[in-house]
Amino acid sequence: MSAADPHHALRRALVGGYRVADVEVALAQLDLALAHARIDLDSAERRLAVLERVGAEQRACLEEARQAANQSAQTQLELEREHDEATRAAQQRIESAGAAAARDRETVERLQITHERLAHTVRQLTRDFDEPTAAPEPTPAAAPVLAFPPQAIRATAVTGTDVELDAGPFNDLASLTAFERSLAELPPVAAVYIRRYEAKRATLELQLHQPSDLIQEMTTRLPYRLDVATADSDRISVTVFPEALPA
Amino acid sequence: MIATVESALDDLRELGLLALLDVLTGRPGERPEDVLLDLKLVDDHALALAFAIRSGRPYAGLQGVVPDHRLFLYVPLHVAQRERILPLALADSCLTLASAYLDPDVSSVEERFPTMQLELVVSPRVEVLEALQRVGA
Repeated sequence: MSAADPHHALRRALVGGYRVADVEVALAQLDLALAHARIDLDSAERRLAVLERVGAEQRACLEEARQAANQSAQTQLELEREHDEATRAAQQRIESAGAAAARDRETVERLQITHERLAHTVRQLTRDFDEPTAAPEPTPAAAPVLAFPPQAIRATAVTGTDVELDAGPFNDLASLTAFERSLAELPPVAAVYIRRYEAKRATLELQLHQPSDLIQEMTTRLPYRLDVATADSDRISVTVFPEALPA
Repeated sequence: MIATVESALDDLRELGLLALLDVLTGRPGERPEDVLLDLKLVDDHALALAFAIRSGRPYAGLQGVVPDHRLFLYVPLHVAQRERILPLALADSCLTLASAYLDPDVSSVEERFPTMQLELVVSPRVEVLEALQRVGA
């Protein structure tokens, strides 16, 4: 006997109705089917609850995904806007750099023109300087031959008592010691010491009795022609030429 | 080197500083420069200048020079006294030595410091010795 057909196995009693035992069996079977149905209902309710919770979570995830998509779209828009701005700024910088380069080019061209003018002037001056020496005018009453006028040499300050003199060239010992002796014989010079000698130039340390115009003394008293390159209060640099023998 | 010494002696002869060159053969085994200087036939400064001019090496006067004691880590004092050399400066692995001779024996320094360059400048012997005495004092 199944739960779908509970009255199938009911047998008639002798006096009206069904047998009590059969009815009780049928009721018990119905109670059992009802209990099973309740169990199935509870299980279905639990599954429904789980599915509803999963559905809620998935809806939440979907909402987050939508928000993330919106944010991505906004970020993309911002990046595109920044890219456009950076591109415009770079173009402006390129244009300004190009303008600066053009200005620099113009400056270089002007400097080149100035350089060429100066070089031309120097060449002209050199030619003017060389021409008289190449064909000097005979002057019977000319002053003694000096490669450098004394006025140019005299334009120096009075030195202190300790002077460093850089002189040269000296090709041999005789010329160097002769120059050293000549310096020692100058009235203001108290002592002469050769500090260095290299590449035909000597550095001499002079000690003077008192501050004096050493260049004037050297120019007028030494038997040399001197080209003063630099002259400070404590350092003088000269090129020494042997004095030409009198004709 | 010998030619340079001879040329320097020629310079000194021209200056009238050499009157008794024959004595050079009378003291064998000794440097001719020392013979000249010990007998006071030549001046220390003149000889050093002649060496410098002939050899092309720089000349350096040592008057008033204060030796750097640290440089004697590279050149021991006994080597400096024996060879008449004075370490002057060390820059960029180049040690500048003031020497009274053109050919001092610095092989011990070169062996101990093979990567260091040695640059010789010529100085008067008397000034080298005076400077070394200041170190030993």
